[in-house]
Amino acid sequence: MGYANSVIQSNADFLSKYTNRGTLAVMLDMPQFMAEMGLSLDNATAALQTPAAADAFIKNILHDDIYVGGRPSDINFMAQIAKGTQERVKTKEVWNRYLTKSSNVIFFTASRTDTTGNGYVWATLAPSCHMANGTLSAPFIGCGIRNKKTQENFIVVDENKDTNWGHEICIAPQTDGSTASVEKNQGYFVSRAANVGGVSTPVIVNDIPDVGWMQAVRFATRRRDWYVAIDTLSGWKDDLRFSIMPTSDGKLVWSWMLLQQEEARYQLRLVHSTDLLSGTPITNTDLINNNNSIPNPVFPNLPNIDSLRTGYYGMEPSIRYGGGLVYPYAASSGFDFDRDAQRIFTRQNALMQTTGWLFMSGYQARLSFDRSATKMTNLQGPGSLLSEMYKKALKEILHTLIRVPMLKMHG
Amino acid sequence: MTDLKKWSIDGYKYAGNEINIKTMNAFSDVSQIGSDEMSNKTFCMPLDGVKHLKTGAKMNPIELIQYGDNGYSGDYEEHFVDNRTQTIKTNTFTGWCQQSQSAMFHGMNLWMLLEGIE
Repeated sequence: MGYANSVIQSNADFLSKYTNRGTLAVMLDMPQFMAEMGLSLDNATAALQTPAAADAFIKNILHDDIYVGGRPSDINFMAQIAKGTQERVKTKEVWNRYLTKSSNVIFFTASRTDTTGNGYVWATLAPSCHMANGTLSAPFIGCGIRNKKTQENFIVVDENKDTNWGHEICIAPQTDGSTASVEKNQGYFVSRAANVGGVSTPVIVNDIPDVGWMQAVRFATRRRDWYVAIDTLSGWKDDLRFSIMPTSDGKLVWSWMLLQQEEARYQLRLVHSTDLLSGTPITNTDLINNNNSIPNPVFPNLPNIDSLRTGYYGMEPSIRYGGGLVYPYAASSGFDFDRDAQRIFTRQNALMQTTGWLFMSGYQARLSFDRSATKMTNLQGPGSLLSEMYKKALKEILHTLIRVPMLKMHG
Repeated sequence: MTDLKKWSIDGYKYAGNEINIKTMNAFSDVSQIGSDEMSNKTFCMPLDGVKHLKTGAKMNPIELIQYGDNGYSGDYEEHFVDNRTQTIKTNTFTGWCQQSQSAMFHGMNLWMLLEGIE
């Protein structure tokens, strides 16, 4: 029953119906029991903002409070994955240095073919083949690129790395008579050492550095305020309520902490979890103000966010835009270990760094895993309990199969 | 009780790969962050492959950090203000809480996101 759809009754109607202590018949006769009306008495009509109306509303509540909150959400889910540890640092900016091997495979944004007969063609690298904010990429003048499907070789004869995330290279075919061309969605291996003659000269390398990269991590400081007025005029809304706690036997009781205070803690914790899951840093300079003595020049009502508290990349954007493998599958048929897992594990096998993962799944994804995992019998860890269940189930099936003909025989 | 069991994680082995599956109830929670999309997503965190260069120790691919300076800035703080006793002397209670947090995700090329597309 939404507030927007509910009928706001006239004051007289309200008083006549609600000031009489309700019998069951009267309660059932109410045109609409507006659960949200109590919350919005002071927003409804001026006529309702009287002590009598507010009192009347509270008096006629039949069951005091009916808890419809359901099971509380797991608000700590991300901290749990990080094993609950949170390191405390004294700086407002943290830097990491990563050592890794960069990929020797490049892709192009579009297919290009030399149609002019010049013997060369320009092509643009896909954004994913750049690093250091799009300023670096693997190919350089003199290196070779090889079509992984056809083994056709080309030599990079010129480059234009002026546009970040859009580096261009000019290639010429290595084989006489071939046409210079590249294909979209086709991997090209980059030979990151140039062909030279007997008297070799220096080859200028404008390449991805071998030492890896650095990453700056900034903090997100989140604040939640609350306010409650001790004002009986607005009825239930400002009735002082306390947070709800379960007792050891599962009953819900009021505690001594204000509901608003508890809600503030809850929302703060939840936001930290969702930041970890899918947050991204603030880079819009209009939202950042480093001068705490003046309001934000663009949005004066906005709290000051300084440039060291702009936030960080959460898990999903880090995977999606930080080099992780994103594998889409049809939700209707679900994830299949034979069809899908083999492909992703083949890719991971090539990296040779890990053979184990923690899969953190939503409920629907989990169901599809379970459906698909029934064909796996080589179980380990706590999952080995499942193999016992399989055995038990199998035994029961066999019993049924055997028992039915036997009954028939006896019958 | 092992950590795996405590967190209700099921373990499988597929073609030599160890798969530990944890259902994230929060991803299916309609009133909060969950929706059809989240419910169909799986985030795969590598259990190996991220090491400290000098010590060779295996590192957790997620590190949580919090800025904190002597308990007065960055750490969790919470305040309850009874305005009846303050200069403004109104019948109101106010309060606020605040905390800083950041995280580092390491070895992103080993992470996977499996998403069920409707």
